[in-house]
Amino acid sequence: MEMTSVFAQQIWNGLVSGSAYALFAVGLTLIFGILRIIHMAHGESYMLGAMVFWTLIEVYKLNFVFSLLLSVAAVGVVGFAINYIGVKPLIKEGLLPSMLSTLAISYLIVYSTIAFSDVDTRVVSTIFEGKFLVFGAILTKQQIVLIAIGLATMTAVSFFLAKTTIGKAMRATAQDQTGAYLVGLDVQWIFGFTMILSSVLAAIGGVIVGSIWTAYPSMGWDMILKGYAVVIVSGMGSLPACIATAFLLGTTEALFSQYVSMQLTNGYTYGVLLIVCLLRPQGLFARH
Amino acid sequence: MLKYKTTFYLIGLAVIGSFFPVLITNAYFVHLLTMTIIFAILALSLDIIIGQMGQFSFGHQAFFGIGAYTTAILTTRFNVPLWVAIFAGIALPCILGLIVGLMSLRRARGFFLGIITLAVVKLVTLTTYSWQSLTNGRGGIANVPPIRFSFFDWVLIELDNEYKFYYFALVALILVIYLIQAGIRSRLGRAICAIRENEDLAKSIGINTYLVYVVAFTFACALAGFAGVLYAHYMKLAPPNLFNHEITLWLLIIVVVGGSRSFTGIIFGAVIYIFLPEWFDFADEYRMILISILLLVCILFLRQGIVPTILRYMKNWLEWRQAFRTNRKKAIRT
Repeated sequence: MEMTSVFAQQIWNGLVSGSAYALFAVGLTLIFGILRIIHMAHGESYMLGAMVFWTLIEVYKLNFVFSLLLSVAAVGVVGFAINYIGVKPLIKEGLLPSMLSTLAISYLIVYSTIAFSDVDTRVVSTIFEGKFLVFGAILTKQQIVLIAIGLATMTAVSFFLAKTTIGKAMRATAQDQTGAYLVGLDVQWIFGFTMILSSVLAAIGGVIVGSIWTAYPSMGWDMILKGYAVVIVSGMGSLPACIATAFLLGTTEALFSQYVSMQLTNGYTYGVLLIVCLLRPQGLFARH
Repeated sequence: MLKYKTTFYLIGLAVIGSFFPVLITNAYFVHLLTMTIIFAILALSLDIIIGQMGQFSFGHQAFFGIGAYTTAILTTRFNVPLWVAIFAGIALPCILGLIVGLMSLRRARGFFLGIITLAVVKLVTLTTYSWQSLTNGRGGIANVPPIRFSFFDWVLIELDNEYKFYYFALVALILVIYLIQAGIRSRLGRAICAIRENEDLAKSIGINTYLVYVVAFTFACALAGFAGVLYAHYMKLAPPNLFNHEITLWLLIIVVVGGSRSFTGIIFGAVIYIFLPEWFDFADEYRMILISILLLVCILFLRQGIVPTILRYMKNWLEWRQAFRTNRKKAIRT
């Protein structure tokens, strides 16, 4: 009985962190696929989402919904700024300059956050009271609400990409940039839109993690490599593969930390990333 | 004249370098100069990967840290003779670099290589923090003995003083620069250059890109280990924060802002790395913010780095002046 409940608990934890990974990774896949740059400041959208949400809820005592919407909007603006300053001028130069500029922006944001607030970790107090007991695992209502929001967002994004015109335009740009220009798509606008959309997704992921666990200024740095791990392991093709890999990574990571070693949990993720990079760099779900 | 350009450069470097401690006899200043040299060597080794090979490596400080830790652990825990430990401190990063290179350089290029090296450094950091019995976790290894040139029991020189170590480091820097430029001029160096420009074309004329890249990568890692050894024996300790996230950014700053593929540029970049926090000391917390902004501005506007850009402007100006003078003479004649 004990064994099942521990196992179920870890599976649930894994699903929770998996949903945050999925939101983060979907944004990253979009940027990587459409803009073809390595965006090192994506973790900071995630972190700002968590931090702004915490500030709005704890300091300004706002409503949950308002805080969510406002923090998402704030991070969207930041995403636009990052695109304008760091990405747009350098996008023709290849990978390295934009990677370095976004890396510099990432450090800029994190150090500014540390300077203008504190380095302390922040915990959001429970908004939704209530727990459920499923197979011996404790599922708090807060976790359920947030995961529901995350899943709803992911479904909305998938629907958006598949059915709407803008979504089709984005997919077209990802397939062939020159072709997109040729058929008259405003590729620069699509780039900007993708950046904003991705940072919004990352912000929601940050809100989830920040409300359930903790929020601290360098959480983006811890997340960025895992995000790229999901992107690389799942391959560049489909969004469902990316989401599935994110959940897979989250759950296996939770199980690893419980049954093998908690300290070496990160080692598991980086090890998987290393092995996939070396043996199958096109990703697990790619066609070739 | 051009053939001996490098020799003159190195002699000039030696002369100017030797005069610094004489002119400014502040021990702290000499300490900063020594740190500049150590990080210049580290950045030069990274530039082999970024500048010469045209690839990325975000985990280069792993080899730096491993070099430092190896020599530190061997001299403090196992009482290994000094020069054996120093050799091991260079050899272990070399072997590790060889393994990483052999595994990844067959197919991984650019971004993937950067991610692989980043994963490597994270794994190395994790190992360092976890393997407490060997590495003392977050404490680091202390009481590393200084470098001593001795003949059996008769001590020639012991580098326990900032000034003495500075000259040793200066000699090391000159040797490293000589080695690197000799490597660039050799057949191997030309092969690396060819691969950087166009890998498929290089393969088509018979260059084994995999092996050439592995050799270059291993050499770069061995150099990084050497810098680590210098660090450990100078600071007399090996702290775990050598593997920090920050140092990736700093190394990239040194190479990109200072100037890739330019020796003076990289030394200048190392000077910036060491001296900028000192100059910005007034700003305290906002230091890193200013420095990040500086990096951003440099990447956006001075793509090749400060020193090459300045040199380019100077050359353009001189040529313009020359053309102006020639045209003026023509105009007067007609």
